[in-house]
Amino acid sequence: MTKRSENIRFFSFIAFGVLTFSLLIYRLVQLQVVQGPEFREKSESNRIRFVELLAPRGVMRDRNGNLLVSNRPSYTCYGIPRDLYHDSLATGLLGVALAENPADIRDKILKPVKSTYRPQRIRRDMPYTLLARFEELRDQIPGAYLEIEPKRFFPYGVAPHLIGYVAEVAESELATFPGLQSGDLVGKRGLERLYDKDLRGIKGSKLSVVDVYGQEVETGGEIGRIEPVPGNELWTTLDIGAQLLAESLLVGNIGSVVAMDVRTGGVVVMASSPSYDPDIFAGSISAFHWNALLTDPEKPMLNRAVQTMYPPGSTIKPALLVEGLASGAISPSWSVSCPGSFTFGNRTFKCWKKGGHGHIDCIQSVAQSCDVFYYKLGLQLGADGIHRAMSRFHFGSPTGVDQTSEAAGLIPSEEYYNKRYGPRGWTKGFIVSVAIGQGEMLTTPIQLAAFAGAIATGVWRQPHVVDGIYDPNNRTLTKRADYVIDTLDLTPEILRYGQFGMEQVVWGPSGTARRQQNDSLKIAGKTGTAQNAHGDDHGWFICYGPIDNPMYSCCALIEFGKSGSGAGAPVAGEVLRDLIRREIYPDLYKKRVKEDEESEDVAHAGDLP
Amino acid sequence: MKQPGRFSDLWLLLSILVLLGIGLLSNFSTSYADGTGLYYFQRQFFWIGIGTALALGILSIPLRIIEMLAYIIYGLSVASLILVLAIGVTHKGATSWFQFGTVQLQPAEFAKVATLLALARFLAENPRSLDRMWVFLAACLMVIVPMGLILVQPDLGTALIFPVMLFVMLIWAGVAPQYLLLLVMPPAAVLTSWFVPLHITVLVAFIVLAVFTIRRIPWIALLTGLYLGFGALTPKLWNKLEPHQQRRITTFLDPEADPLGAAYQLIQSKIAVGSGGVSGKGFLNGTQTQLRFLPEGHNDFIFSAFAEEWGFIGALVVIFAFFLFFYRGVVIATKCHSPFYSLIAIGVTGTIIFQALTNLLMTVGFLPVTGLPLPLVSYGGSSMLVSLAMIGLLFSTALRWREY
Repeated sequence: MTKRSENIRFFSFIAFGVLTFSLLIYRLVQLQVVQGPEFREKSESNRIRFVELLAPRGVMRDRNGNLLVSNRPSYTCYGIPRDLYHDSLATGLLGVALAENPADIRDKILKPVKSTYRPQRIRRDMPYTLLARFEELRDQIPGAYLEIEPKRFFPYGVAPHLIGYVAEVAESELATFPGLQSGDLVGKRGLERLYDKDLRGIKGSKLSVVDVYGQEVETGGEIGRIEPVPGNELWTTLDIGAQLLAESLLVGNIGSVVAMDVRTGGVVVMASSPSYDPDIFAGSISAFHWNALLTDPEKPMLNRAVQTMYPPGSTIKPALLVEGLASGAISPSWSVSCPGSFTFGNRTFKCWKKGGHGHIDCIQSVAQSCDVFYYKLGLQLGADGIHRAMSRFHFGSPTGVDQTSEAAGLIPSEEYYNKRYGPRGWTKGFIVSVAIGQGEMLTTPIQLAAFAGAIATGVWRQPHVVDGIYDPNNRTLTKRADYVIDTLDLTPEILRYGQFGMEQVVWGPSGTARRQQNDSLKIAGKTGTAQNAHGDDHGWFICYGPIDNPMYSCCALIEFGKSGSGAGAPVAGEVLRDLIRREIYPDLYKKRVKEDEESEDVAHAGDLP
Repeated sequence: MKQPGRFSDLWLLLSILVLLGIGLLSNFSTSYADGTGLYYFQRQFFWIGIGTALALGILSIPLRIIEMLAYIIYGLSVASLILVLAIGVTHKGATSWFQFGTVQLQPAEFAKVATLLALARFLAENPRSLDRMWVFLAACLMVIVPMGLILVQPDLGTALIFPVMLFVMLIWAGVAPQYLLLLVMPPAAVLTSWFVPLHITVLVAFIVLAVFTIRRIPWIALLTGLYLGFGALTPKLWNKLEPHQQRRITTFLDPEADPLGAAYQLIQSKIAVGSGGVSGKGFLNGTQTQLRFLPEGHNDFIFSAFAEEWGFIGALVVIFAFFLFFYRGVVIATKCHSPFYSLIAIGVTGTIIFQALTNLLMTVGFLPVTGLPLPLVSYGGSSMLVSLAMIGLLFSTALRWREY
């Protein structure tokens, strides 16, 4: 290499170096000298924090647009592990402010992530007493701060079982819900669980500049933001007015009421008693409350409308009657003479009426609920005939209503008995008691409400609660329409026996629910009294109406109610009539109570106590 | 031009001592802020000790012997890169480390030195064939093998050093311009392909330039083809990048696009540097407010931590130290009589300065966040050992510049 080219090489290398280093110095002058004071101010009074913004969960509305569940702001206490973990004074004060053991905060929340700046949720839904205490100590706990987050709000506090609740996702559930992180909220029961994906929305986030006390600075505090996307709304078929009535009628009782629009299958009322205040789940439920709910012998958490199985008693007699007629086991003119009891083999089965009903035909068997008639009919049908009768109305399997943990019920068949007791282990005597809805037969209130609707219309419709999902972001409504509809495969003439029998229950001279007569709102029904080995009998009443143009069916169950006519009928009858009134006299009822409760709440969100 | 000193180069020594000192100060400061006690500071001290011993050892070995061993060292290094893929420790998704007790070593760092030695020997051995295709291709191959193995780990940041090292050494050795263009055209095509007018302007400028310098139609055609080919392929290559790598690049190009993800580091770094102002916040005073928000404060973003506490004046010291290092390195490379020595000197200088510039420009938001540490300053055992070993080689060439 020549001397000259060596020089060119040397100087071009040096020139390149001078150029790049100058660029660097230029940039440093820009950052440190020109913008220095600006950055200095930022860094001294400000710090940057990454905050997750929770998406408001989708609201739920009743059929008139009233809010069943919405959201309201609550205060969540966040802590930055890196700041708090090594600062025992601050964690101690935080424990005081939150009324929690500082060691718990340190070990459970901070320790697993002690070196991160990512804020961790320390306590959700701070009550006002704690907020005040926290405010006092805030200056000494710079690693902790409050954030406003949406929390579930129940404007009417109705239907807690049906709505369900949300809680922090369990570690074991993380696999079931891809996309969730621990600490996120997830629906645990009811609609909250089933429609969790729709309701959840998409979390947002923001970068904010905060001062040394962890407070977002007032101007220019937010330097980056991705808005959360609110969850979708559930449009349910529920009617808050009727639901409130049903819940009030159940107060003091153990039981449930289910009412359904027989034209669509939409559930308009689903109440279960005893109940609980859904608000306790909205923020963070205390261990005390949770244990009280779980260990209460009356099981307030249970949604008795779908999760509890009871013997249906006489309510299912119309099902057996139409099956007997349809299968030809009996003729329309078939009748029995009821002496008050029926002897089969060496056992005597009593009719509920001690003196006997005397001559009973098909219609009167329903109207007066004669047990002897059905003992004999049951023997004609056999175990499988009864099973067929019940399966026609979808007993023995979950209705598929959009609720969690729905019970299937049980309709014994010959196969069932053979399996359970062995082919020779059971007798026809078993059939006799099943024929009046006792023995091993089990049903749920929702099944019976659907059954009453099927008798009324001739079509079994799958009950459902949500019939539309509304996306507030795109303003689109997705109507659900995939419900099972089952024509019963019965001629109108045969079906009419069941309907007429149920009309006579209320309107016949010896009907078992004559007290439900109301000339302007004619309903049909069927009482049922289920023997209960643990105490007084359970009282059932199923009904539909109006008779000439069925709109709704209703089923009420009162545990330990002694009788269907005494306990069930007043409840179910009143709810049913209320529903009919709401529809035929709409002006008498204020349907939409308030347009947007949630927007008002948001307006007050910034107010600290 | 000042001649290299008789025993060695005192200016070079000064720049290195300054940088090591700044590294120790900064590590002390970040350790202090982290609440890790003096962990990083002590470990850094330990590595500097080992590294200095290593450098002195290298300095005492005659360069002729190192030249003889160059290919063997290179072979062993490639073998270790293969071995690390088989039995290495995986950390943050990359299988890059050998674990010895509590010490982790990164063979990719050592591959830099080995490749540098082999390349220097190869180019020095063939001074008359530098315009031959086979020399160019062989030199490329020597780089592609270790680089490919490092990309498999994957460690994009470290792999990036290799083509730069190759490019610097090829220029220094005096390879014909068309070969250099062969290296430059593909990245130029990739970088400009996002903006078509620029893409075409660069191409036209190249053709005009090539008509006067290369003057050979087949070469011009080949280079043009290469340029257009890479320009067209870029979108496909882009889709093959990992999402986090894509994000780094898009964040760099448009930090507003992702204020919460990758830009977080950058924002924090800029605030740290900027808030240092002219005179800085003072030793250990920056930590109270800003450093704890600075990610990788002891590693990739150590300059930001230093600049916060020592301000523009401190930052200038770092920059001048590196510039002094660069200047003395180029002087030594120019003075060396032996082409092998000269190539080693320029290779070492180029590699370290490239890393330093990449890191510094990254911390001030002028380059994407690549994950390259700042040589001699950042915390890290392998990086420190290799930097000091390379510096041992540089001093060795400075000491023996008269040898042929």
